[in-house]
Amino acid sequence: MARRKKVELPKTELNITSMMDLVLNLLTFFVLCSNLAMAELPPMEPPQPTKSKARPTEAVNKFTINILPNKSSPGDALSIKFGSSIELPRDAAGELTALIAAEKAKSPDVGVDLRADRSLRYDQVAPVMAAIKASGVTRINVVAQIDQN
Amino acid sequence: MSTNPAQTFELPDPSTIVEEPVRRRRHAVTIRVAALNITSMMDLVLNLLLFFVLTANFSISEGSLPADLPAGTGGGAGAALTVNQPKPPENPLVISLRSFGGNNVAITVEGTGTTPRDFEELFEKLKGWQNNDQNVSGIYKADNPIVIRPDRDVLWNHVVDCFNSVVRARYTNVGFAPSN
Repeated sequence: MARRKKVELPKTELNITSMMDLVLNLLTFFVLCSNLAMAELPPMEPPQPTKSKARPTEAVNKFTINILPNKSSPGDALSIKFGSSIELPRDAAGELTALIAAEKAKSPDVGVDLRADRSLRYDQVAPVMAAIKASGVTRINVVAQIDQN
Repeated sequence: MSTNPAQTFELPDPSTIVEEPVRRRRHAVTIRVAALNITSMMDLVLNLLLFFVLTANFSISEGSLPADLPAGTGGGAGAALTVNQPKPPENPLVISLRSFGGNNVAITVEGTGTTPRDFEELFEKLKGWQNNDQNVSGIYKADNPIVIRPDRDVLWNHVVDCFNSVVRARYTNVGFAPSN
């Protein structure tokens, strides 16, 4: 009798089908989104001004120029990243001007986000600003941290 | 079964014996369900999910300071970022930044002898100088050209900090000088 009772204990199982659906959807979302965000914004530390007036960027007709820092020699730039794919050496201001000018020829009211690491020296950033100016783009934004308070 | 004397054992019809003998004896409980063992896959998926949730930052903490630089900023050598320059401005206010190594920076407002200790103080000074409805004794108009002139070894963080102070004080005509 006792043996028989043991055998017939009901198997407790959770129905996780819907949870699995949700989890896989979330996973897909995060995989795709984090890759898209990384392409335009390589990891770096933008400047953090006191009482920052920086506003969230609007995603309207603009591209980002990143100036990546050289970790092994602080203050120097490693390279200049144009958009999400093109990477230029740090002294390629002339090529950068041509690239921005080509972008401006495609759409005249294009804007530029200048995203440079906070540890860079000014003489690493100034040539890039001069290149942007030389290409004739009028809408320029300086990327900085938003005031958290 | 044998404990119940009232029960009579009735022989089933021969045709039914042939058709469902298993069901009678083992009931429906023992019918096997074909199921995939997804335990390890679930472990993996939840780990991946956790990883992406934690590492994904949608750069919400980042914003941009609009540098829609209008015409006539700076003038002369002090106009790196200006776009159209119809005429040199009459009285540009030049803010010089000099690095003291490390994280130290010296701020000088040229021509006024003012040397603010930090960018908060620079903001207060600039705000006090601006001529507007609240401050009629101010000496600079909001569109008075302001040129930020950093030394070549000043950190970009300080340059943007200075730019932010000027924008915070509601000046609209700001430019960067080339590094000297």
